[in-house]
Amino acid sequence: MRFVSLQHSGFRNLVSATLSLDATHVIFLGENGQGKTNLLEALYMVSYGTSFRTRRTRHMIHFSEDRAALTVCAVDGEQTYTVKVAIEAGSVRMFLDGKEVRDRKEVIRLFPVIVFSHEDIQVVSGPPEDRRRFFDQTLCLYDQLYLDDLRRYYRVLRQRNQAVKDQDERLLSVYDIQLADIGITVCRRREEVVEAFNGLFPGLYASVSGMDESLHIRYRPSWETRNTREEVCRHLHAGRDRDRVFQTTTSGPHRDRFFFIARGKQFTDTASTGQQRLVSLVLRSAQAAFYRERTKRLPVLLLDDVLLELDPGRRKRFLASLTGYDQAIFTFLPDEEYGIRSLSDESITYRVAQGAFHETFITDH
Amino acid sequence: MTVLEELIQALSRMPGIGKKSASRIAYHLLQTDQELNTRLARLIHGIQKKIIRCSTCGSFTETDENPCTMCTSPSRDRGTLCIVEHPQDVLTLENTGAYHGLYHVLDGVISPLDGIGPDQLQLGKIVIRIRESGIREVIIATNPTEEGDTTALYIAHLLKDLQVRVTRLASGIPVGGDIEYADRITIARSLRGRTELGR
Ligand SMILES: [Zn+2]
Repeated sequence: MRFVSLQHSGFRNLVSATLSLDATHVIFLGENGQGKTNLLEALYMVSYGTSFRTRRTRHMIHFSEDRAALTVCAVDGEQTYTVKVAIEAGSVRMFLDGKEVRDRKEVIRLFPVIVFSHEDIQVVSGPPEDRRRFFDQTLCLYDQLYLDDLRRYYRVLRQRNQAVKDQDERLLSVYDIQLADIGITVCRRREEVVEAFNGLFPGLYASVSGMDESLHIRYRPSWETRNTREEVCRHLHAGRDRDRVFQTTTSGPHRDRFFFIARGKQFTDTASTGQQRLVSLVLRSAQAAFYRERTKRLPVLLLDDVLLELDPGRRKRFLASLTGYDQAIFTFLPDEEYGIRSLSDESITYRVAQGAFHETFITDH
Repeated sequence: MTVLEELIQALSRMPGIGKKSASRIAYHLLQTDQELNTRLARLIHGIQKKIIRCSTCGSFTETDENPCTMCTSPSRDRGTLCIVEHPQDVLTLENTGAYHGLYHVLDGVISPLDGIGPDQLQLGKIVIRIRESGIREVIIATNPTEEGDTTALYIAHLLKDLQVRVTRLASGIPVGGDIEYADRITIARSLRGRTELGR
């Protein structure tokens, strides 16, 4: 899949325009605050119906406008798609080829987009929730049933939490069964994804970092035993007193942990910020590779200022490790042109200033 | 606000009626013969007084027919009880012509987040009904939502010690629906809940 063009109006600080994106590499050069990331956010919006930066729709609309609209054309082999997103304060509506999309997962399936962003370091060093979100997202990218299971799990969890607060004991055994049935499936899929990552990620990390350190991922589910409904119900039953004290469900996939392990120890305990950032970048590469392996389709990569803080050797090796995509869209600071020349085959470059985009040509000095 | 605007606003509060349909209906009422309007007004005015809930099963019935005709009919299968979420679900099942047993309307599903627990539903009555009559099978026809599942499981627990068979309506690809166009999740879920075919 690749984006061919984007028409945008009223979106953040961007000056309404239509941009051609019809190239394998699209590069946006500009100082911070000029609108580079806003453009990547717009592309993410048309792919997921949500932003990777904010939940407040008002933030995505230009201060002098009431609404924003994004229309993207994309091609996938012989197929062409048009997705339109209409953003108003408090509402986002998506249209696929003119028809309103009832559930966003229909579009996610068509537009596999993977974002590499500065905030990804949270996946490595942030709270456990950020790692759960990363692996859930990895699965959701290609498996709608997992997304459906996850939504159902959280729906039942919220109901159970309320029943715990209401002290309605009669309902807890029913919710335990439901949580067990859906939760077991969620755990199995997480086990699978971690196993697959451990076949992809350590090699990628070693080649980009230039260190022969074997870094792998360990999954530690909250339910230690989880082969049958009965086993899980026993966990939940045993935790009821604790649940009452904390007024919430204290065990289950929503408490699962993921760790990065190097030489038998937790990597994050000793890793520098630079190493953590590199791990987060390579995780995204592994996410793309995993998607490719499972679907035999090529994703689109959005890379937001990610080369910053990497030393020249790692920059080069990281760019070289990015393979197997239909399109990669980068943002760079103006003085980062060194990184781009290697991407210059089949590329379009724009300079971004005050929300406006001007096509430019990178020349060898 | 003019009378016409007020009517449009009132009509647009009907389910499935947007502003556009509401004004089409309002203009139609304005130009149609007076007789239809009088009849409509009379029917709408009387509906809540004349239609009540059956004291046995909870479905809609007229004031002078309580218990309702389904509850009293000698030709229905009095050994089977179908539990539904809402009174209108009774009509849906009746229209299939495939079910001839009795009904029980819950008036909702268990959802603590909405403040609905077992006590807010017509659940206690089910046990009494089953004990006092010759019901042998209970079919739970709650919707295939998380809350519908919760309610079905809860009822199954409730009836555990009674001598009744408890089943749940199967969910899957709609009849006449083309597998090619069915929602992918529906297909995936139907695969998971697939049933053995007899040989
Ligand atoms: Zn009745």
